[in-house]
Amino acid sequence: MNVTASVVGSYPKPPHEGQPFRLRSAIAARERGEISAADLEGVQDDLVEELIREQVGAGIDLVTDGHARWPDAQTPLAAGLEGFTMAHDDLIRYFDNNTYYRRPHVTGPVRWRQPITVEAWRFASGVAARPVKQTLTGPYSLVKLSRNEYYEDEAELVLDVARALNAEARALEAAGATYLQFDEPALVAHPSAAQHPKDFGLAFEAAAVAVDGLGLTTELRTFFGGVEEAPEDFFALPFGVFGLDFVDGASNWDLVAGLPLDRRLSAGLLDGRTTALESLDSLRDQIRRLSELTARERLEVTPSCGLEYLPRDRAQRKLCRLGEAVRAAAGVAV
Amino acid sequence: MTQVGSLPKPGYILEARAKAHRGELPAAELEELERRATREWIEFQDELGVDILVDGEMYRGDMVAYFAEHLTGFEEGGLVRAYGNRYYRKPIATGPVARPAPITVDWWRYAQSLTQRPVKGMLTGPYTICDWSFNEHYPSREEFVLAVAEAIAEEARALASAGCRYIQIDEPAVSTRMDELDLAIRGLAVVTEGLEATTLTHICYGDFSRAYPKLLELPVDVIDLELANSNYDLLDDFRRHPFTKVLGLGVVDSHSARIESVEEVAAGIRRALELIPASSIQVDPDCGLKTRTVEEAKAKLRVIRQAIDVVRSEL
Repeated sequence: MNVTASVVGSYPKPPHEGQPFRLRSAIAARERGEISAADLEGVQDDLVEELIREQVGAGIDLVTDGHARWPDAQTPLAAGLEGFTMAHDDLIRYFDNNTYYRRPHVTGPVRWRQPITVEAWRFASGVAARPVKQTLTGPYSLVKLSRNEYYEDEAELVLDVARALNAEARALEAAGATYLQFDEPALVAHPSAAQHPKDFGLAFEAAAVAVDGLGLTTELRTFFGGVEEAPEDFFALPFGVFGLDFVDGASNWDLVAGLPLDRRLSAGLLDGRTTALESLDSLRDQIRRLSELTARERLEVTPSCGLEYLPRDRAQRKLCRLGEAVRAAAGVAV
Repeated sequence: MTQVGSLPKPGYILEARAKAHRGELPAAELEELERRATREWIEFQDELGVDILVDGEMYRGDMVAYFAEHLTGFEEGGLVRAYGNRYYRKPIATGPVARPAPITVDWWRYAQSLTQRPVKGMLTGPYTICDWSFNEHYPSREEFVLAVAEAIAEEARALASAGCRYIQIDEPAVSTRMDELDLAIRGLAVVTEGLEATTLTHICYGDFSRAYPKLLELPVDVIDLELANSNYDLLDDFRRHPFTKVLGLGVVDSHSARIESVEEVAAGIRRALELIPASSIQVDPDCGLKTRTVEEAKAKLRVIRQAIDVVRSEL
């Protein structure tokens, strides 16, 4: 059995207990004008190196930069695109977490102007010496997590965002990225203050636009719920990998047999939002069961969502357990 | 006019808390400074003419961690991000939760001794304490919430026995999950049932529209909401279904440094008055003001006072 360990995206930014919280101090100092942008970037560079080292140490094969430079997964993308205005108020809850963000406002036509994530990906890739997965909040979720004050037809907005993210994806591919993940949590969970019922037709159309013409490996990632409400052609969407949450989306256990053999599965098995540690046996059994259910030898295994909801020590402990479980399932002595 | 709860800690408290955390300041000296800061905030509110005061929570850190620290069964957790560059310590329940001794009663008594006007007792609700903690002990969320509810109920009764007439049980997490609204309501009912005081709750940053009008089932007399942060969108919900409690009307954004104008706050109060009678409105900031500076908080509170006076003169 060929099992790969990966992560969904974010990682806790606070240091291990007793260490100075350099990033928090640096951001505060930057806001007071006491250090330069380059100084802050240096601290972020160090943190990216540290987080990648921690993931590699836990046995993670496909790593991310832990979103070390981002306050959250939405606002840096919105800030980098034309058409969004960054709010100084409008602080709202991120799904059902006790985590909040300032909702970006759409105030003009959304257009891609220049690369947003490429430099950061290049840096992470340089220090990792292994593939680094870049994540982008997908077009449907990015719109549902924003406030539209410009477009009369929300569908037009979603498709403009999809075209803009496709341009970003192409820039990443041109820079050498080999694995790109689009996060679409709004397909399976309800963002605070989003008024409308889910529009899968629109989400699917936008997802296809976002990956149009790409040659690198693309993943469609959902978390905080299962895909039971999605139409049956969900797994026919043009992505090479489907990332599913088996913790908050128990229904995925029943649906995953429908995954076509030419699509890979990235299975979120470790609860990314509770500190209680999964047992090695239960994880290994779940991996084997998924392998049987989906009739495949090759699987990716991840936490159920980004790990930033956990304290740093607990996140590391979980990730080490994930690495152990993957080796155990693959038949390697632990 | 009233207050949601927390007020900013002056610089000397922040320094003293950091020193005490490092073991460089005895607890008694920190407490003396916290009493001084409490006195200063009570005086400010008295002079401003706030009708129902708060002690400002000079002695509390996070609203959940503070209670977790004083209840048995919780361990201090590591830092997790709240928003932007702000982090909090998320407690971990590792054993049965119980209240070994009164938590807030002495502070309430002290604050009340400084003024003739009523001072609110401030508690965090059971659902929010549980939702903002990790649970490694209880087999279900329900058991966790109801166990914490018993502990908070004991504290609420102790405040009432001490003479506290207004008891606020904050449940900012209550509108997070529609499938747990009933559990949150049951938890709060454990706290407020038979309580001889006016009961209030504060809710924020949830999916209010989806939870409304079910939220009117919350067993309290007053529901306090953030109106300014959402540009008074919630009033549309009240048009669809009348708001039947006393409304705590949040009129300034607690998470923005911008000082609102008297006119925009007055306009907000007038919009609420179109739907709810003046006798059923308590005006306050959107949320606790602890993330603002002392000067920003005072400026925002002065604007609220002036706006209330402007609107009152029109009634």
